[in-house]
Amino acid sequence: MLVSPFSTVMGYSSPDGKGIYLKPTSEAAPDGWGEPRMDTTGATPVPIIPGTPGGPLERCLLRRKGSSYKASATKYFQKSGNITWWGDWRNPAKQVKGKHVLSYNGPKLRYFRDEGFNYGSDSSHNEIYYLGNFATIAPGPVLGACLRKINFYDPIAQKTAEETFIIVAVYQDGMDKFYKKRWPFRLKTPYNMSDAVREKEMRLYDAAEEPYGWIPMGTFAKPVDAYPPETPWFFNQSGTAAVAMRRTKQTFNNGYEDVTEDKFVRLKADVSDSNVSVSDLGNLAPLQYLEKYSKEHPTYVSTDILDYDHSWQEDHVKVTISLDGAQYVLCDYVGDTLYWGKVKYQIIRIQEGYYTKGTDPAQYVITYNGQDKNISNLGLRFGPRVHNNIEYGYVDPVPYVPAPADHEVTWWISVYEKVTLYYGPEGNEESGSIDLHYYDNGTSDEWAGNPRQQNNPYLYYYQFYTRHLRGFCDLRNMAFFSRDLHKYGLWQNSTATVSQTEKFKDTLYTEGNSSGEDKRSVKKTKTGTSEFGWPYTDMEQWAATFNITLSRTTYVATWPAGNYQGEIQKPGAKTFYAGDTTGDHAANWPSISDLLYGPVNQCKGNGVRTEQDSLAYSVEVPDVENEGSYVIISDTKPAGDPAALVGYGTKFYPIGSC
Amino acid sequence: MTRKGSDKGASADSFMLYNRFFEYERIVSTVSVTDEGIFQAGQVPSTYGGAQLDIQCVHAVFMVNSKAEMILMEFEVEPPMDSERKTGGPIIRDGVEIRAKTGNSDVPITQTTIPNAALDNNRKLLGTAAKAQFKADLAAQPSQPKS
Repeated sequence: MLVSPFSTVMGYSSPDGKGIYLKPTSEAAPDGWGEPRMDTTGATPVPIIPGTPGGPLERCLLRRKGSSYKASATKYFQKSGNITWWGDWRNPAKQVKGKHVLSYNGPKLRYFRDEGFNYGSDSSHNEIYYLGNFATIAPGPVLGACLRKINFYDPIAQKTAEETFIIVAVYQDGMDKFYKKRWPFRLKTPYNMSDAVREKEMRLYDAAEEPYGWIPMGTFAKPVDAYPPETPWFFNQSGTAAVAMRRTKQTFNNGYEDVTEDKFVRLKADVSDSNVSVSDLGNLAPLQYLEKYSKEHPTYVSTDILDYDHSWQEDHVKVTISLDGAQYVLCDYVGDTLYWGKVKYQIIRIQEGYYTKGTDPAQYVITYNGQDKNISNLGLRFGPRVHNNIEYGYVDPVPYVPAPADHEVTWWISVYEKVTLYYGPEGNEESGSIDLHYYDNGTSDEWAGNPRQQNNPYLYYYQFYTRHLRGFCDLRNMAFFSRDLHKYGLWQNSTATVSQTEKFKDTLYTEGNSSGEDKRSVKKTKTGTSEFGWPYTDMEQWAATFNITLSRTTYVATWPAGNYQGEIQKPGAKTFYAGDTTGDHAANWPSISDLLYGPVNQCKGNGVRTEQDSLAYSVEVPDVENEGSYVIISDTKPAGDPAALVGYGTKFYPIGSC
Repeated sequence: MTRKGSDKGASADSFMLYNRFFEYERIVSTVSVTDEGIFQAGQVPSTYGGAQLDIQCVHAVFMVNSKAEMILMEFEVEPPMDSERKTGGPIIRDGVEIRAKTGNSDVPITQTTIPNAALDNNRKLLGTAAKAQFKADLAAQPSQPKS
């Protein structure tokens, strides 16, 4: 490199590396492109021709400059993880430079286990990244990491000085172990990483031989019957505390028998300069399942048009089952404030059966004064005459023609179900919420008099949806990506505190919808939640089945011998935690596992939220409108238009940020 | 402190014990030095994300002495690349193409002549005269390299 000695420097742009790291892919190379990104002659690198799938330089850095994005791919910025720790500002006077950010690998949804992710299954799980490069390599799979300034006595130099340390929680030898190491912001560039460097980075501290090695701070033995770590430790901004959720097996008596179910415990670590102590905060009381049967036996006498008395009796049998309670499922720090998240169940299902005995046929005709008169009491009896028919085993005889002295049965099922993910700072943990499941079909009183429509059994659905978090969730600046039965959507906290007009997207960008006309101006005057997604016009695509199971569908009325009143069976009571909501009292409501874990969060792609408020996601998900096909959705048009922005590949997946 | 020989007279020429030159003007261009080489101004590829040093690169300096004699110092500068990493585009100096393209780049390299703004009027006159003479000499000796 040669310039003249009289040259003068006009400006310097530091290699910031801040932004979102993307991995371009295509059908031909789903693992992503790598070098060389030029044609075989090397003469014309533009347009960039796809290179070696999975090769080096497979990622590019997407940086937001003003309102536009800039993509770059160099050998200097290639490394990032999807789990981030946000520290203090790198330069408080220049906050545009962002915060100190460490990143490492973890489950896709940050807080919830990902069945495709197992700590220790890949050597990259030991890596910690900073500004697109390696910060260091930990001695085990990284569960959490942070930076903290600690006064350190160097026995070689024989002086004490405040130095920056990386503190890390790793999973090693079946235990959570905490280490720290001096880290003077020495980055290891991806193209210089070797097995030798990796091995040296993992060594323990020795004042003479390894002055920058790892220093043990504490060990936390795995709780009894706990699963291996599935979600990270989250450190606070100051590096003085960390929290984690851990799944364990719990054996307990549910009111009838001893059962073993999964449960979450909350772990909290207090981090001092030299050691770490972990305490188990447990969880809330288990969910309470209750079932209750009651029966009333009213008798009635009515007079027909001919002044004849008609008497009949009814058995009103009511079955009520309910589920109440909450369980903590996630934790995080926003700055230095501890946040908890819990799933709260409010479910009640009521099945009412009206067994009427003593009614007449619809046509009970007598001759009176030479005229035919219908004196049937069918129109006189009480109880609902309308039915809702939500997939349970009852078949309504059509047309129903009761025989004399026969009994007629009508039913009503009331369902109110609400499962909510609450989150908020400790002490105010229900300050924010996301409805994960909501279903309300109204009561019999609300629907009395409305004829049932055989062709539309869903007429009585007031509200109905179940939302699955997918691909992306970060409560530090709350945003999550979800799928419910009708659409995919992005929920995002609005942070405006003064009146301003912003353009929101009604619809997400997809391959088939890349126009810029899908925004609307919204005048915001306060903080709130914005929703993006496919519009509700798609609600006609409602799923055709929904399981509501109430197993008590048979009842044989006895009259008059069985003419008793009051409770016919003592209430049942069972308790359970997060894991198992099935069994002989099957209720088929969505379990915590259904909503937050397992296959429902499996989808290609990812989302990334940066400490500078940038957000990008690009996820390939099943198309709700075309069964069997998939659709790519992303939140931003530039990010969703990789051909123009990145120059190669047909789609991309966000990897992480630094 | 007195200077040796100061008692011999106050002539400017006799006063100088060495041949003293001052910068009259310089020819510069702006380049960006990156980890991947030197690029013309504004031509750093969008796929590059590393450090970038923007430099006013000096190609030549015209030096003049008190006898209105001019010397030209030229510096060998690595040819900057355009955004497609091609080199050898035409050179445009002060709006005039002084050299046709020599490579496969079509992006012109812009050079600018910058006079020394710190000169007093006498030195400016000296420089103007020297440069006029310099051009005349060049014209008389066409075999001289063109700057």
